[in-house]
Amino acid sequence: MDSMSRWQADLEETTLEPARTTTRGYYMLVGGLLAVIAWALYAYYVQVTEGLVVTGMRDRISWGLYITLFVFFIGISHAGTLISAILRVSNATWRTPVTRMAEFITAVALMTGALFVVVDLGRPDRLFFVLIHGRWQSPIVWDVTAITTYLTASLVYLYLPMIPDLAFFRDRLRGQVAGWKHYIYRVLAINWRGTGAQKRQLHTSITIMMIVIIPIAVSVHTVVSWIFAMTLREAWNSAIFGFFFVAGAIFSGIATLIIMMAILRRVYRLEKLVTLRHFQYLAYLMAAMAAVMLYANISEYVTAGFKLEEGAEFVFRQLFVDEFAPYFWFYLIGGLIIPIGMMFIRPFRTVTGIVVAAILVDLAMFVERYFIVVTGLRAPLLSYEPANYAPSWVEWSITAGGFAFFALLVTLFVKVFPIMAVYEMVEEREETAAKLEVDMAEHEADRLAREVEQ
Amino acid sequence: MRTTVRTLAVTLFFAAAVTAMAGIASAEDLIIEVAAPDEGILGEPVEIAATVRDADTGEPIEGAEVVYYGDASFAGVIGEVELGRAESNVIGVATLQPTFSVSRLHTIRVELLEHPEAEPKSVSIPIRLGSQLITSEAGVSIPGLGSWIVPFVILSAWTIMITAAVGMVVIARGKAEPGDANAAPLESAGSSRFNVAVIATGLMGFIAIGLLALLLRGPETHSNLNPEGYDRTAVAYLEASYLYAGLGHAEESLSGDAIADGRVLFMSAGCASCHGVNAQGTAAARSPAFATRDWLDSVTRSGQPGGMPAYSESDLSNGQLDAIHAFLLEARDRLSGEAPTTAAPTTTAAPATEETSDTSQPPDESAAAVGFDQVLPIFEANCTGCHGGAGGWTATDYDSAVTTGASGSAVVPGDVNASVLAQRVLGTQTTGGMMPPGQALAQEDIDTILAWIEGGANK
Ligand code: HEC
Ligand code: HEC
Repeated sequence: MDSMSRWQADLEETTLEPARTTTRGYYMLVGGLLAVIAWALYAYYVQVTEGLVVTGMRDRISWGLYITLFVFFIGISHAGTLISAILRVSNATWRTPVTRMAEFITAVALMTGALFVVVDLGRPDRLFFVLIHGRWQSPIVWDVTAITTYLTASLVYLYLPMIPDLAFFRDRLRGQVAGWKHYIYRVLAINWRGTGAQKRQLHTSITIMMIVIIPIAVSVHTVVSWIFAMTLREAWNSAIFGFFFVAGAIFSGIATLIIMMAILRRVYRLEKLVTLRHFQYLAYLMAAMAAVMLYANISEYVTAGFKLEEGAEFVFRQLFVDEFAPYFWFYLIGGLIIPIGMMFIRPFRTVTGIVVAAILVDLAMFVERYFIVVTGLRAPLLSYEPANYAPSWVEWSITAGGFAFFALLVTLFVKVFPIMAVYEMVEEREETAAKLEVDMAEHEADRLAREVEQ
Repeated sequence: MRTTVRTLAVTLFFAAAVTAMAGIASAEDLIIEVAAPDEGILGEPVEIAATVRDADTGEPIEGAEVVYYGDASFAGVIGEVELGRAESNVIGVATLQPTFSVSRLHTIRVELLEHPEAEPKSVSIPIRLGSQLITSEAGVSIPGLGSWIVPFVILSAWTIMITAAVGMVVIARGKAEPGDANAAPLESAGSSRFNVAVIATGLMGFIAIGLLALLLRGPETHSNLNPEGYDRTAVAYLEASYLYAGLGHAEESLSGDAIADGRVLFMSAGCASCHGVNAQGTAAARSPAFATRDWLDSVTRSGQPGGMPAYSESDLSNGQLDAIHAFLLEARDRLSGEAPTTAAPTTTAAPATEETSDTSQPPDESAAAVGFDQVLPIFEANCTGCHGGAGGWTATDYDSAVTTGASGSAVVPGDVNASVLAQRVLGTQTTGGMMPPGQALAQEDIDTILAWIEGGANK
């Protein structure tokens, strides 16, 4: 099959390209990111030596930007695993070009998110106490457990389908890349030679992981939401918090995936592999999740508003009309309603239009995480004046560092590892082709039979 | 209290009664025997039985009042608290069943209330971690459904994950089958000594075991934490079952020892919440430990800018302020002791000026040699941050240093005793706090400043 092999050669070249050549721009990007991280490290040094007093957090509002980022990044991490696992389980064949990127995002976002819990501690060394004195009545320990499990699962889930691709890199890049890089491929490809036994085993392992990772991913964000919902705070007294957080996580995960895809597609010229179709499918998924989020918001606020228990009024007032109203309405209108609306209008269903919608969604979800954290703590527990919170330069710097860290890891990953799931894509195409052949053969047989009858 | 007439009378009466009963036996001959279990469990009553007998006859004594003391620490002070009292019954046995809420070795001392001369007995009981201290009464209990589910779920998830990971190990073995004619030979795969599959799987097993261990060995309460040096929870680790009336009523448990009482008052009046449990100073307010008694008085009665409230005499009596001052003096020693180069300043208040400055005065021959260029670095390192010309004494240059001051010049050349500056660095001032606030200067710096003033405060 000539077109098949040409297509495959094309795919292989595109995937190998980033690992082979490195442009000046790439080094500049890495340098820039490192500079931001260095600045954040300095800010963190200030924070560790001076104490948390250099942040905007105080006794009453003791969670701020850091916890917002923690929730946000853990949310984004659902991009990968959950999306790619759900698509894999449901056997959506269009998924193959996007799964690898989604899984990258997951692993990287999880690491970044977990980092922010540590950053939020005034005494990071006390993290050790969680291990030696941890009590499992504490939601923090549930979180440590859930996140560790999810991080491990998503690393395995990222790695397994990558083994054949790493072997492919090992074989094709011999002598073409730096020795250490080739060594990495050799070690990580764990003797993959594509034997029947290896293929079968790989298939089994991937199947196990794609199933087990779905409940794990759901549990992670549920547990993250419990950190809030298990606290005696009016704004967080919600039974649907777990569901709400998971929905939001998938939602922002898809948006981030769309943005990353657009960037990588442009930089590494993946237009032929990642097509408008992929963006549109993801955009529909995103719009559907936006509708789910909208509904979750209605459910959340209407139930509380209907009863209007004492304390709810304060929470509603600050959210709907006072200090946090701009954030809230931006989130509701800009992040949920407008992106849905955009998907109904054809001119917006282009890559650019979809990316704009995704950026809106990510911004809105960040803002949502922010006001959930801060409004919850702001509502006074006794009759004192509500406190206020504004992040300090230290927090902003470390936040910038967090995003830079995220971007840096993605950048490095992409440089070393195959961004396209070559093996799966080829396999999938072969299967389709084979099915086509069978179909055609059946068709042919039918025709012959009919001819004989006549 | 023990020496009150009443006690004496009762003692004598008792002694007389016992003597009468036992013939030759006297009150001093009572003995106590204590029986307690080998160990106790957190939150559960521990039965401590004290038997009171006549030393000579071994006869049990009925109606003797026995007091039980437990060892405790509060904000760094180690002492005893009364656990309770019991009266001996017909067979001479008095029992008390205290519950303990901290898991450690508890030492209980038993004493006869009205016979302090009878030798007290102590017994040590290790308290093991046990059940949850506070268990909710509410809730539904479903048979078979318990917290074991959590480790079980985690175990299952990890087992499944590890099963998938073992697949990697199988892949890495790379065995070829007859049908794999077109598979590349194993050598071409360039195998490495470093078997990632095995390492990763092993690591996963390790993490899984770690997580399970964290869950399974996790204590049910926090009583396992060693409170030593952990000030923030000083209040929290006052053991709940002790006779403790709450911080607001701390006066009731004053002991008469000025320093210990001062510490309690420092807590109960709320000073500690701004100034730190050990009067060490916090971000909210500096250490008050270097204040003289007069300064303490004026500060507490009138309050301080920055949030310190004014305390009237009904809030804190003068006697109570005395106690607080005693505690502050002790704190001052402690704080000065922490810095090795710093001498602990004399703790007496204002009138002692002469004595103190005399002892700290340097020898005369060096005095003349000290010029302003030698003291300026000290001022710059310790004082100009606050005394940079914003009012009061200004330390930035010679002219200001010898002429300025809140009430007249702070320096009287040649007269250490009259110089406010000298008083302030020595802590002998009649008003205001010691300088620099929170931490005395190093002794050699103090000597230099004194020598400079003594030598005529030369340029
Ligand atoms: C609401 C917080 C607060 C409370 C409660 C409080 N203080 Fe203060 N105190 C301050 C502040 C603020 C200052 C000003 C010193 C500073 O700026 O650090 C101060 C100053 C002092 C000083 C003068 C220190 C010096 O070096 O000049 C003394 C002495 C003092 N406090 C003693 C006490 C005592 C004793 C109590 C309890 C009876 C008490 N404070 C309660 C906040 C407080
Ligand atoms: C943290 C700020 C601070 C530092 C550092 C400091 N002081 Fe002061 N000092 C004050 C304040 C506030 C007063 C006024 C309140 C009082 O009298 O206690 C004062 C008062 C004085 C006074 C008497 C008031 C006057 O103006 O006549 C003298 C003398 C003095 N300080 C000397 C020193 C010396 C010497 C040092 C360095 C060894 C020093 N101070 C370091 C804050 C400071």
